[in-house]
Formats: sequence, structure tokens, C-alpha cells
Amino acid sequence: MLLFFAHGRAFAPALVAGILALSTPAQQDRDEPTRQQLVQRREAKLAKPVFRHAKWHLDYERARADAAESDRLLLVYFTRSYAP
Amino acid sequence: MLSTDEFAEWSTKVALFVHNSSRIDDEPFPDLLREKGGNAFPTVSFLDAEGALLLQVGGAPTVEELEAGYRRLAAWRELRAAVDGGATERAKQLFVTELDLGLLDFAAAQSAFASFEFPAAEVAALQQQLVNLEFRDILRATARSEMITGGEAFLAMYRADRIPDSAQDTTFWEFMFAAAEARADPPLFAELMADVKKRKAGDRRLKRYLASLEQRLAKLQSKTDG
Repeated sequence: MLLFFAHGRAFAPALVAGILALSTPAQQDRDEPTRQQLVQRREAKLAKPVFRHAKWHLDYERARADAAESDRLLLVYFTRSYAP
Repeated sequence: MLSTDEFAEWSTKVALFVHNSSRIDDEPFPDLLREKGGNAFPTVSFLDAEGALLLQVGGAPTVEELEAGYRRLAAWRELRAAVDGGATERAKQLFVTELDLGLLDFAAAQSAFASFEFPAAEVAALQQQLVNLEFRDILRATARSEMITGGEAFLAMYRADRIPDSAQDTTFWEFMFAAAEARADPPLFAELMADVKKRKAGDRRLKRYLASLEQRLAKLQSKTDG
């Protein structure tokens, strides 16, 4: 599948259209995690040992302040917890 | 890699921040990945203390790759400080470095390029970097819902033989195909298709892509014939 990238999203138009056409509202409701599940996933993600092995900031503004005070660059790891 | 001692030791050179997309309504900076040019998880990027994107180093870089990116940025910071401190003789080197890192916007880069003289052997490569910047800036300024507007801007670049060779250039073509469809212009669609075929001859995904383009062209032709 050839993917096209635009504005931070990868999409394959035909594939996306096909998936949307095949998904019923009921299926979409079933697949949508609850807020509580999302919170649990976030907590589990950020509690992983990897984020304790080095000095990771979880707060963007504090991270930037640290970078400014110490005259260092900021290294950002973008990840997600809402899906595997 | 992030869980290794090697990374932990290296990481003292930088301030570390993990941005987690949770899709929870209280999430601060929910669009940060997109704002910093990311399009996949995970993405690892260097920012400055103000939050400006300096360099994206991919999804799962090695410590060696992080160090290589860090060194490029350290060299740039040193140059920037020197030029800001009055070392105007290094301004050209700074421009080339910033162009290479993609730190300039197209208008500023084009203006700076015109102000320096470069050896003939370097001009073509620098001009290609300018084209890539122009493409990137148009793409960033184009909302996803305005693919056709973006396609028209890319068609103008295409007609001027200003064609990006950057990693995202499939978007360049796809936006132009959308514009050709919006114009109901099968000859333009076919022209673009022939050019894609020629330029991407070595791409293993080309056959499937061309098949989908053939279908779109046939549909476009049937619409305009009818």
C-alpha cells in the first residue's frame, strides 16, 4: 500500500474510504475506548521503567525551562498510549 | 534503545521530554507531534528551549544517530553564535548549514541564497534544497481539506520544473492529481502519470500505484466524456 503523508497524518485514500464504508456506527462505538480506559493506558505507559531509566520530563513547559536554564537542546520522544 | 545504559549516559547532554498522545480531553499540547512536523509514532526530535523544531531523527534512532544529530546541531549553534557575535565571514557557512538542516523558511532562504556567491558545482544542489523548502512550506500552510489548493500551488512549481526530491514527495504528486481531477483535466492527469512513471521507475510500489492512477484516469475521462 502506497501511503501519502500530509500534515502529520499518513493516509491511503482508498483504504481509509473502504474502512469507513465497512464500519457500522455500532462497531465504531464498540471499538472506542472509554475515558477510564484511556486514563489507565496513559498511566501504564508513563509508568514504564524506560521513563525512569533516564531523567525524562513529563511536563513540556518544565522540560523547556530545564533546557533553557542548562543551555541544552530538548530531545522529545513522541509516543502514544491510546493504541498499542 | 531508550532503556539502555548507553542512552541514559548520553542523555545528560540534552533535556528529555516524553510527549504521550492519550486522546484524553485534559491532555496538554495534544497537537504537539503534528505541530513539530511528526506523522508517526514514535518520533524523536530535537527542539530548542523555545520549542522550535530543529531536527527530526526518526522513530527509533540509535544512540549513534542521536549523537550524529546532536553534533550537527552543536556545530550549527556554534556557527549561529559566532555570526551573531560579529563573525560575518561565516554567514555563508551558516546559511548552508541552516539550509541543510531545514531551519529556514523558503522566502528567507531564497533571499539569503541570492545574497551569496557559490561555486557552480554547488549551485544545483543548493537550488534543489530551496525547492524542497518551498514544497515543505506550501504543504505546512495547506490544510488537509485544501488538497486541491495545495495541488494548484504544486502545479505551478511543476510547470517551473521545481520538483522536490524530499522524502514526502509522493504528497507533491498526489495533490497535483487531485487538482487535475478538480479541473476535470484528463490530459494533465495523464501527463503527471507519465512523469511519475518515469521518475519513480525504481520504486517497488509503482506498479500498484500506477494501477490505481489508471483507474482514476479512466473515471475522470468517463466523467468528462459524459
